[in-house]
Amino acid sequence: MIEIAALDAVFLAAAVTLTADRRGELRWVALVPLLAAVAALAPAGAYAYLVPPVVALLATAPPVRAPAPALVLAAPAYGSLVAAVTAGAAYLAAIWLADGLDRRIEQRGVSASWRGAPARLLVIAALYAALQPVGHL
Amino acid sequence: MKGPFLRSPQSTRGLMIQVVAAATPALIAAVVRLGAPAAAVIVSAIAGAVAVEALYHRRGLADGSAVVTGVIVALLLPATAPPWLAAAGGAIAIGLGKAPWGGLGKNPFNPAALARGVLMVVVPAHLFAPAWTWDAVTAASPLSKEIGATAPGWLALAQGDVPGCLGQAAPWTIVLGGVALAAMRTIDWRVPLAYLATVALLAVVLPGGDRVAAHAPWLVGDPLVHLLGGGTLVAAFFLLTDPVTAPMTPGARVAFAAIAGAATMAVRHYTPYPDGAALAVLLANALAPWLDRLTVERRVTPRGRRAPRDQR
Repeated sequence: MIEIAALDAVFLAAAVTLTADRRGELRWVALVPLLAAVAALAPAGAYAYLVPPVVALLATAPPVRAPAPALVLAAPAYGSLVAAVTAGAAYLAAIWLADGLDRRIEQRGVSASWRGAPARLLVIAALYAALQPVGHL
Repeated sequence: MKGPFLRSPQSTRGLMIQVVAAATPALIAAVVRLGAPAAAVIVSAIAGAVAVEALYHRRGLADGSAVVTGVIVALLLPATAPPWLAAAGGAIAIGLGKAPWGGLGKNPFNPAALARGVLMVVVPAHLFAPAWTWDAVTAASPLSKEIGATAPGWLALAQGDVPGCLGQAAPWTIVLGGVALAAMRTIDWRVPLAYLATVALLAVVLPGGDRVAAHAPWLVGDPLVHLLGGGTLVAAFFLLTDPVTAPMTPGARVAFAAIAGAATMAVRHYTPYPDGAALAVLLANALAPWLDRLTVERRVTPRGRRAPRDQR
């Protein structure tokens, strides 16, 4: 498994979602952290090595149009179910905030090299910086 | 017909001159109190902002907005920041916070707050050092929650005898500049008032987190520490009052400032970060479009004729 902090995974997944042509099923993607946390609690015993690939399959199969953000959100080791639900909610909130800012930005004014996906990435990066302290709550 | 239909006798250049003039007492006080390092931070931040502005839009040089951005970036940095860091802050403010969006008046985030946020992520050691050398004595930030932190005295805070950003060197000069801007109607007085009131109220009623309880219990119940410490005053008078990144209606602006105040106090009470004023401004900026939708849309759309949610 890749070691990644929950907050980093949330914003990486949001960045992938915002730059994708098709977003897929956001609500399912937001449930993936909960799925990963529940799977981590399962008493797999000698079959523990099977848990990560099964979680990856379960996470990426239903949101066929958005497998990448789902896989990123499945990666962190969530400390508790509450942390997992919070990560899912934070993912949806980040998308919602970025969409709100996207409507406010005058795309015609944005310089050609920044228009579209780069501008969205910049918005997500600013939100990532702003919400850094949330990772310590 | 092409807009704008409403014209103001006040030019952009005139507004920028007013903001720089309002910040000048704070800059002078910082240099007098902290000496050459503070001057180096100010000059470097302005130089970084102006240099990048010159690369993107020469118009920004004429209207003075790049200088304003550099000045505000400097107020958010400690005097211990090396000049290259201050120059990088000014360059980031313009290069990421303003120019890519089309220049003056089109940026979604306050450029100076964005620069501070980026620097906090990229080089936290320079901004979050648990202790700064101050008058040859190493002391902790007044909002520090580290082991060994000591309670700052009110007089020391009011006189700026505590380590921190340049804007903290003489708090009364920031208030003086802010009140002057409000009196000239350059800024909306409701914004700093709502922000400072929220910070003060939450400082009194909000219980502290574990770290605060263990190492800095004086941070709970003392509004003056939170009003005079950290970047509170700079955020109140120079960041949140930026009309470009704030909501449009007065009511929404009050809510915007209150959200920033609540976020500032949440960071100070429940995270290891000593201050979160600039980050709170970024968060409030992100919520500004939503506040506009809540208020402006209700005003311009007759009751019962709201657009379906999917068409908004």
